[in-house]
Amino acid sequence: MGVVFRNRLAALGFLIVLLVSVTAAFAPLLTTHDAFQMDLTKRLTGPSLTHVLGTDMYGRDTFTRIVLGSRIAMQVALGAVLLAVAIGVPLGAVSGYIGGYVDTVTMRFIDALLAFPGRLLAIAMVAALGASFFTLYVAIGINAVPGYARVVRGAVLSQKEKEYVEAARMTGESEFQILFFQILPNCIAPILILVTLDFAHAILLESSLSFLGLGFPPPAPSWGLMLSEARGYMELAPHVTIFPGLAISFSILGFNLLGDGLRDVFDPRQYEG
Amino acid sequence: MERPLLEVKNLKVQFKLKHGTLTAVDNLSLIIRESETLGIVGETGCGKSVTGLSILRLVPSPPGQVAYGEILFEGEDLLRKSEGEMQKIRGRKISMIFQEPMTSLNPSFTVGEQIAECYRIHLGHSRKGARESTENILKAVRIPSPKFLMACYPYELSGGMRQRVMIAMALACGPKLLIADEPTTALDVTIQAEILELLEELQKRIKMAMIFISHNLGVVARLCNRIAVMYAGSIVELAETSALFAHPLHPYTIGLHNAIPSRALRNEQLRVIPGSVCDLMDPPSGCKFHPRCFKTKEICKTKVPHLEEKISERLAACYFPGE
Repeated sequence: MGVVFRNRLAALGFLIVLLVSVTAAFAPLLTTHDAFQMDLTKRLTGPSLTHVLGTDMYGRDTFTRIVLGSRIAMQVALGAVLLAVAIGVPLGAVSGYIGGYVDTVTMRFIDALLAFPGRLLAIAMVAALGASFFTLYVAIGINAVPGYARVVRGAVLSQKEKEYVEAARMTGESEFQILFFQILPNCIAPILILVTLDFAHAILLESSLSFLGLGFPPPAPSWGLMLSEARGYMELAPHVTIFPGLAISFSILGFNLLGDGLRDVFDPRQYEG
Repeated sequence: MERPLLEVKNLKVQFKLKHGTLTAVDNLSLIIRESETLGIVGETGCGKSVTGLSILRLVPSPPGQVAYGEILFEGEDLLRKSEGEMQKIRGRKISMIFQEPMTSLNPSFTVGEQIAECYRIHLGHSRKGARESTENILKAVRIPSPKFLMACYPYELSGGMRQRVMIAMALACGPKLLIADEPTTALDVTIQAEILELLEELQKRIKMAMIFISHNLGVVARLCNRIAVMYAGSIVELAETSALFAHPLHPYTIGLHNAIPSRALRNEQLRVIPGSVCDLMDPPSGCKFHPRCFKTKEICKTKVPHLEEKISERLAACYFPGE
């Protein structure tokens, strides 16, 4: 962990991720107003002491909605990434370890999935199944599966030739034990990097879906939805679109910086020379 | 005669490669008695390691496969066992230590966890019991502070320490047979001596048999009761250590012998064996050693010599044994 902090950008990324996560975890404690309470007398007011980030076109407190929105963003991203890891990692691991026909078939399937435009697939799925946490997990997560499968397959391919695998076989471990308890722990680094980067993708994709009206229906305080609702008032009250937009960019920036930082740390080449 | 611990009969191991079939071990037979040490020597690529691996059925397959032969361990043919049965034998009854102590430990786990794993797999020890057993075995391989070492990751240890840990792992469940595949090659000479001494002592204590694979005649001479000399996948000579060194029978052994540098001959050129190891994809006809041998006759080029008793208790695969 110390190494991560020596890289300043990564440290910044980590702080942002921490901030967003803490916000999402303790959202109800941080809010100042009721996120759904409309007050038409206070439509589109600018930032003030009572409404730190102003109010939207229905007079709802933007700060409160952004804070609650972080929950939706993080929960969807977490679910989607976990689902992708749960499917992609074993798929790639088994494929790389067994090799041969199993590998060929699995990887062609993964290639096919990869060839499909992810956003389109997500839109189609949510449109067909309706928005719920579960459909969003699946719709967003399925796009990340090929990444894990490929990365893990590559890592397993390089690890399975190492002598410690032979040594484990010598001590009488089964192939299953060797793959999941000897090899996979050595493939954690690339998985961790991918998880961090995929969080950013998932947040963006969830916002996009909400923006297109395919995410949670109003009045849910999803960031993408907030942007979409407020865009008609951009000339009148730009802050109503700016703040949710900033929330999205800020979280994505954080995850990306952290991901890049982790990649630098885990890449052994940087220690050479 | 009592039943030998391990009996390998006419073993033939082949690797089916894209451009042909490579015979790594050809018609190899040997026996190992309880608590004896058999040395296998030979140059790189002569099939020493493959022989060791095939006993544990760990020859990578494909492309490798045992084409023929029997491997009888305590009277049972290992080649007929299922993979599950083999997993119970590996590490429990037959163990192996490898050449590369630097990379044979999993970098993601502490040494203690890795050794404890053996106890839990084979002897069903509890977490706590396994920890205690681990501490004891580490003491047995003369590691000064086992408690401290158990919490270390492999990268924190030196080569000699890692090899000790590997030995501890191999011996954890008290195997009947240890296959040591050049365990000292990657180590300093002083550490080599320590490890050899340790192996010798442990072997006496737990009464196990050992197959010691090496290309270093000196090391083998010191440790082994009997020595098998391998050339191009076959044993060319098998004898008691002292006899083999006093009067080598096979021309290849004689050649190896002469090639050992000695102080007495320091101004002379090294007496090497002419030529190089034959192509295992396309070995020469007859005796595989004939293109390099100094007493090749017509028969050597056409007929394969078999490993036979030439003098009492001494086997050689040559038509014209002796100096």
